[in-house]
Amino acid sequence: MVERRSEIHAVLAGLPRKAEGPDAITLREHTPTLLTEVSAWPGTEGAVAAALEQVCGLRPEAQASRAVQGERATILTLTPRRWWLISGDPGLSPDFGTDTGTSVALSHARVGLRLSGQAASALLSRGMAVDLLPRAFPVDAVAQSGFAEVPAVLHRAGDQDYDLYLPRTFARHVLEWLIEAWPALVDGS
Amino acid sequence: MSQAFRAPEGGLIDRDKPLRFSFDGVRFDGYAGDTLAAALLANGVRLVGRSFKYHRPRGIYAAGIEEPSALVTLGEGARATPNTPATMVDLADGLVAQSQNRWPSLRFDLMAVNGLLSPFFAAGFYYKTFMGPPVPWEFWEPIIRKAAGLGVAAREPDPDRYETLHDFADVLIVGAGPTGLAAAKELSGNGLRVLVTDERARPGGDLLSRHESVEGQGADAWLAETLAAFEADEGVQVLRRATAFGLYDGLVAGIAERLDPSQGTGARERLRIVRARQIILATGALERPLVFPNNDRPGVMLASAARAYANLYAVRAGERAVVAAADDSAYMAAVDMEAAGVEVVAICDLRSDAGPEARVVAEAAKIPVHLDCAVTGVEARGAVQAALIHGATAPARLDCDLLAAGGGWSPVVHLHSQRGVKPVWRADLAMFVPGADPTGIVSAGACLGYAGTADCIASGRRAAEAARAVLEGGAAPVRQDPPEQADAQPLHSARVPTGGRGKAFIDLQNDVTAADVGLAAQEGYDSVELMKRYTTLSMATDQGKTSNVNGLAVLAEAAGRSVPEIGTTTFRPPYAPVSIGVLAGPHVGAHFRPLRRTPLHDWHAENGADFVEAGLWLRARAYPEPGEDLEAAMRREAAHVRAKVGMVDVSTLGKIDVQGPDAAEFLNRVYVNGWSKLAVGKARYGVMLRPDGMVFDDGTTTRLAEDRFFMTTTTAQAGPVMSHLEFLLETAWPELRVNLVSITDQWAGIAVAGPRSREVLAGLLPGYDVSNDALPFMGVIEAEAEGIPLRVHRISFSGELAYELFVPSGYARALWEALRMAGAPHGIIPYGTEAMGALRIEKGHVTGAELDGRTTLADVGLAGMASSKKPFVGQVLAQRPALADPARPRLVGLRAVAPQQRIRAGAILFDEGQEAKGHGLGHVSSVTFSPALGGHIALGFLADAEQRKGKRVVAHSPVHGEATPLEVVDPIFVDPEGARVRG
Repeated sequence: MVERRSEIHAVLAGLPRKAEGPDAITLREHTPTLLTEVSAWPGTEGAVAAALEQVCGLRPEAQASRAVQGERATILTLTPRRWWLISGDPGLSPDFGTDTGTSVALSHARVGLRLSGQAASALLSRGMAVDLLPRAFPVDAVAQSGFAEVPAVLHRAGDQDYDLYLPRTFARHVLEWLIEAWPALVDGS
Repeated sequence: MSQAFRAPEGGLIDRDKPLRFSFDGVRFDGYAGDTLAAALLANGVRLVGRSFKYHRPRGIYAAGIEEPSALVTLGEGARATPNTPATMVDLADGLVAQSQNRWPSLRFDLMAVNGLLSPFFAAGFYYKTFMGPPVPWEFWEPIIRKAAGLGVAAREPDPDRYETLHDFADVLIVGAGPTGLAAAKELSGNGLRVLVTDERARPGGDLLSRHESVEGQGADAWLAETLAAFEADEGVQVLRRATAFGLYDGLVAGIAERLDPSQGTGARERLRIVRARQIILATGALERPLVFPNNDRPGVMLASAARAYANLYAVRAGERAVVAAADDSAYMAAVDMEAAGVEVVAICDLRSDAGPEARVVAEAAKIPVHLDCAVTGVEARGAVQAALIHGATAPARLDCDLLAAGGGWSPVVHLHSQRGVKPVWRADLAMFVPGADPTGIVSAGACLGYAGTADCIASGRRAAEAARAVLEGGAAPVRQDPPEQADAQPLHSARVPTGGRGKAFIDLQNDVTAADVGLAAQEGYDSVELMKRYTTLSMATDQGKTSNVNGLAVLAEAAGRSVPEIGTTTFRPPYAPVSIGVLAGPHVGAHFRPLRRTPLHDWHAENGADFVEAGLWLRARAYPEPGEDLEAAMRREAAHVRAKVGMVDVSTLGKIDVQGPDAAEFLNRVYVNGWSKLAVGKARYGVMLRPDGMVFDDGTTTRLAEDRFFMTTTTAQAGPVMSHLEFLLETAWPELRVNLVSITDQWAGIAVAGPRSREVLAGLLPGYDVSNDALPFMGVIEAEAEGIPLRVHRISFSGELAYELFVPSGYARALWEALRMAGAPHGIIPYGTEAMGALRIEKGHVTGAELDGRTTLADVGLAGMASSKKPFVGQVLAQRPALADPARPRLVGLRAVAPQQRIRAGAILFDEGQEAKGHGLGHVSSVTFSPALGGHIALGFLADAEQRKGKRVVAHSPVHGEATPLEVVDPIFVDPEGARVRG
């Protein structure tokens, strides 16, 4: 299999490798090997959730805008009937027919960026109207919103770690926007 | 120049940090903590600008955001910012400021001749004089605009950075005066996120400029203690230099913050958009001026401003002052001025009596007080030299260089008004107070009519308690009522002395006088909304901060009505001027709007592509060879595709995954043609209509499985089609089990077109049968090339034998390069959107130029596609008589009679000999030079198209002044039988 081409590697490589101080934010590509959008019909949510659990050992959060992280995968609950299955294993595939739900591969459709650092929320707040205070947006909170006028999904993966998923064709634009907005960005790849 | 008007001690300035700045090229000294206005006054600068219309000399009138006169241009060159109130500019080392609206100099302004002509410049002068024959307004406008106005914006691109910040708060408090700070103090320590915003450099509001006791301690001690408490509470944040300029739906506030570009992200200003759960408006009050002749001369100043300069900056606004009062606070100002070294020679009070405290302090300071005494004007040669007075106990004339006037207070109700809350006139307070608070908003303090510091603090605390109760327990909001007084108070500030000489200004910024308002009423503009527009009173950046109430009162007097009968106008955002830069934020230059690149963008860039913006996309439009221009490259590429083979990036096509048990039924309903019988592995061309029957979009859709389709849309309509389909599923057909996912970014697309394309494909996919039998027109196969998974659709947009290859985007470049290798023996070249456009016009394929929202299926020659066996969106309204009229312009081909004569898109079609007037017979929609035909061709829409085929029409382009004779032909110029496509 031919290697997948990164949409942003060349731009990231132009960032400094080191920066110090509280404003420093580390940025690295976090594009998943596998990203599948899974949907259920009204009434089949449980069956789809069970299928997801069977394939990766994680029961998705029933509540929308929440995520669950495990060793093999992360599942973002985007709406009560729509999930993103994210994994480094390209072979994960929930087993059900369209009578139960649908699944669509988006592994090439999204570019993931991981922003790490205590100032990461300050940078994100410059492009996204989401309250990122831990009380309002704790670890494993998920938001679907616009970032720099581009549709984006944000997952708080850790206290100071955010995963920002962007449409591939807009990813470089957003990366350039981030670099312009925040002088203390560091390439963490 | 030394700071001759600066007291040796006092003020909140940092005397250890001297600063140098320049005004109109002259260098001055000041201190950190000064505003530009304070530093100018400290240096004895009285004349700082010229007025808007009459070019009258103007000085510093206020000490805050309400400053109407001292507007300066800050900075130089590309950084020059005009119309900046000198009272709001923090002094900085090296600061450069210029006066405005004068030529050749501030002191000697030739346009001051306007002042001499001022008797002619009454309200409505321009309307009466310049609107209409014989000379039109358009002639006069540039002359008038040059003669009037304020500062001039820089023409160069602004080099500074601006940013936007989204912020959230449990409680947003607008105003960091005693009310706002007391509210924040009450809320602190409760785990709430409290954001306090204030336009000034220091929190404290009027506490800073008043020497008074607060809750048993000095105002400065109370302030320091309060701010220290906030420092210890992470939940409370106090913003400085941050003006809340707009209040919007959903408790959203717009705040413009002035930043230090040497700090943080280097931004000069920031737009902070705050979403709050509760908002406390502690916006305070502004002192109301008095209206008397020549009340605009340098040296006339608000009493509160003279007090602020004395207490905050240790600056004497003059040496010898007369205080004109209609309110007790002017007495306090007089006393503080006297303490700062200003000789206050008299307080002239319009009232018959003053409050007991005011009388006591004036007496203690030995300042003569004259009751029932009016200032009827000032003598001024440039600046004030004497006050003219009418009163029983006062002399008729008093020498002075400062006239400090205090006419009472007007609550700042601008943000309330922006939310649609009409101010209410309170005769007992002689002021407008906010009407009922909107949901989530609590008013407090001076903006509600409270006057004393203690009352304001108590009001702030009550507001905080009310907000907290709502947040914690969902309690119903409790509104505070304004204070009440027993009797109606006269509105002294608008009493215009009679018989005085000179203009008595109400609105200093817009040069509107009491006489203008009277004239407006006399001429029938006696509604407040009409008067405002006729005179320009309180318009534009000023938003009536100092002029509103006096203007209404004068109008009421002239119209013989009361102030509440006259009413008030609506204040609109922004409360104070906001730079365009802060509104634009980071959306400038390359980030003006999001830019979309295809997965093959880098290859195009590395190989000399000329790019074009198509919507948000950057697309390769041609690959010019050395010495080639765009047109030549297009002709070469298009001809090559017809002769051999080419490849083009079509990744921008919209792509939608349509999946579910009811997917085929869904397509039946949204497309005009049928989909139930489409076999798996086959593609079909489809057209969608809008509900009104007009063509919406077209594209090919492929059946990948019984319950799964791969839909493509045009590049331009990808987003609208997705929204349209989701809307239908959510609202019209919720019973259908169909799921839609945009997969535009998942799949890149490459079209391979030309007579040798099958050979290229065979070379790329050696293990696959790509013969006409195995992969016929509209056939689809799944394949793998050199480890790259892909799907091959036999579809043609060019009219040639062609294939569209869809590949996961991360492998797009690998596939593109593999195709280049496989195609090399066959002479494959890349071609861009220009050649693609030429090829499709030659083939008569329609795109956005034809599907422009005004055309029907029949108009574009596709009426036969519509199924009569099933309903579809748009079917019913497409039958409307006007849409079914056979005389409607229909799609035709057009060839230039002189093949080398260019045809213009948008040109209007007329019969030969017909006068080129009106809408004509139709229009030209798409144009190109056709390499295949060796001349210019076009697609267009023409009435009675069938009857005109073979005849000539003329395309008139009024924009270009061209008339091009054309022959009307079939829209399919090349291979009308379709042999190439199906071969």
